[in-house]
Amino acid sequence: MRKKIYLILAVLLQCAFIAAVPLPKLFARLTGQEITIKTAPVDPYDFLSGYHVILSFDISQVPSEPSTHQLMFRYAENQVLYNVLIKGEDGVWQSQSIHTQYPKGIPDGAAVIKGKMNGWRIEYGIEKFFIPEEYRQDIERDLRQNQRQALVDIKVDRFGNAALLRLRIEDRVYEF
Amino acid sequence: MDSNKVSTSFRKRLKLVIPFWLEQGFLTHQQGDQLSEFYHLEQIKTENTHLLLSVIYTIGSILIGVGVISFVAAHWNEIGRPMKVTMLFAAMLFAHGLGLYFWFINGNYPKLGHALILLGTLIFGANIGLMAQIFHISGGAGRMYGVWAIGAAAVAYAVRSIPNATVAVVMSFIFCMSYRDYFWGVHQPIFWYPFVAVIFLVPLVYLCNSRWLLWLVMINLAVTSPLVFGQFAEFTGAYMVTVALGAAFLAWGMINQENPRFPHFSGNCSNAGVIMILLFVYLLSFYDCAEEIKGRFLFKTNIASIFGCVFLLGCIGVYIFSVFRYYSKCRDIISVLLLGAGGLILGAQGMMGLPVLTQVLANILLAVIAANFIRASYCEEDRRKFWGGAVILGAIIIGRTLEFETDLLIKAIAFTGSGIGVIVGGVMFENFLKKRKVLHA
Repeated sequence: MRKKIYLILAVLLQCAFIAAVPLPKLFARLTGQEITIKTAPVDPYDFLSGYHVILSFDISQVPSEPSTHQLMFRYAENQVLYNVLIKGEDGVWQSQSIHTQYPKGIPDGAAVIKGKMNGWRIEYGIEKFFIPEEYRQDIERDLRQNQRQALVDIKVDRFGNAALLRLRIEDRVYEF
Repeated sequence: MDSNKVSTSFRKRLKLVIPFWLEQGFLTHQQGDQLSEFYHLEQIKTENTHLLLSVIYTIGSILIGVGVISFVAAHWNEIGRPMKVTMLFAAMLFAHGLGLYFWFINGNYPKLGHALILLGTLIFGANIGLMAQIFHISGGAGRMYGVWAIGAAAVAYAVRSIPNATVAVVMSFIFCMSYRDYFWGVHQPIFWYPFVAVIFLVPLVYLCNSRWLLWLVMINLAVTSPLVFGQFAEFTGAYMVTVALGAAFLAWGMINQENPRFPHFSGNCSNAGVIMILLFVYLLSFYDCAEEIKGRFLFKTNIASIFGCVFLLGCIGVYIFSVFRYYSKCRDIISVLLLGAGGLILGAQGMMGLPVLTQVLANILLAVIAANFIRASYCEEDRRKFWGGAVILGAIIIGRTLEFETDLLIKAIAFTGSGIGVIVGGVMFENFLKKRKVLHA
């Protein structure tokens, strides 16, 4: 009898995990502000979730010299960082400033995205774009031919959490 | 002796010979019946059938589980996201529910029920993968495996399931390893992993009473701990953690020996401990490895270092406690020698920074250990110890021959001589055993 109850509790825990895993992304999708950022992708395979494109964003790069060294020493590995983004004239959002705390008094129209220092770049938890197996070769070819034109639309909530929506290459939209 | 502690192969052989002994008059029918009853010989056929059924059901569940995971990975776009989520969630609940029914409610198909609960856990992993896919979750695929491990461990604890515990150990191992950078060591803060593994996985070994799980957990710790803590004192950390963990395994063996319910774990733990310490000494018998740790005793002052030191001191502390507590019953006196000499090597290394001294000490120590194994094999008439000693001697000779820039002719002589020496030693040992048998007879 006790084993039965324990098993039911364990299965309920599994259900709670399934619900909890996407919660921050779901919140960002429902409440976040939509912005567009520039990317340059490559594609590996994940046993659990299948083929995906790994995205490397312009806003992931740490600022160029001389601040590169300053940033590397100023921020420790895995340190949480907040990147203030502003919309450019071409509609693509770009990094304006990087902070260790959620910035106060950000300019109107700016967005804040939360990331983590990982090696030489900042990761935002949106670096994987999962794609169906059947579209894999098409997307691969498209990316190879138009790598510098790739953009992604994301949503950023008020805490800085980001959720990936779609990949755009010129007028083609990939949303799965 | 408890009849349950006897191996199935022994019982099978006993069942075969009893009719012969009865025929020869070595046993009376009453004694034969008593033996059959004591060792539950009539149940052997049923046990075999149950084992076969368990294996078949488990393989079936694994295949279905991999099929479901592959379906998720295929990212088939013909079905909408809500439908996919509903299907997979329902499949998980259905597998668990059916398992619960067959195992605990209906009770007629416990093996099938157990396998279905395993399937439920595998589909739980597929559900996690689906969520990652739908919401494009990144930031360490390892986290998904970590969540999978927790879910599997919860079920394993609930129903004392070895297959679910196996999933938990394997997934937690993948979780830990996914945070490893192959060039720069562990670059993510998972210094807590070995502690969590000890706290949550070791009790599962006892709860499921499984040697398979015991080895799995020990291998997991043996690989992950040096990698996780290896960086806390540069490369020296990995060596120190390896020898400390070996000591902890030896202590674990002594503690199990005194445990009336789990004495059968004792030998496995001791063997793992001896293997780890031998590996440590063998690595230091190479000049490059000895050179690698030269003078690198400066601890980094970060939280990972503190956790690493706590882990190291904890292992050594458990070992010292066990030696003092169980010394009179401790069979592995050799382990004391090993650890003492290991400490000596590190001490000499730290104070003087002489890799040659470390190398020489490590080689002498290995030779002493090999000699001790061979001596013990003669005293205890134990073939395994003899071959253990022979393998260590062979490893020393091969290591030194490959390491030093010697002529091929010298290498040829060394290898041929070693081979002949091992064979001659083996023949001498077999003759010794034969003579002993004649004397005993």
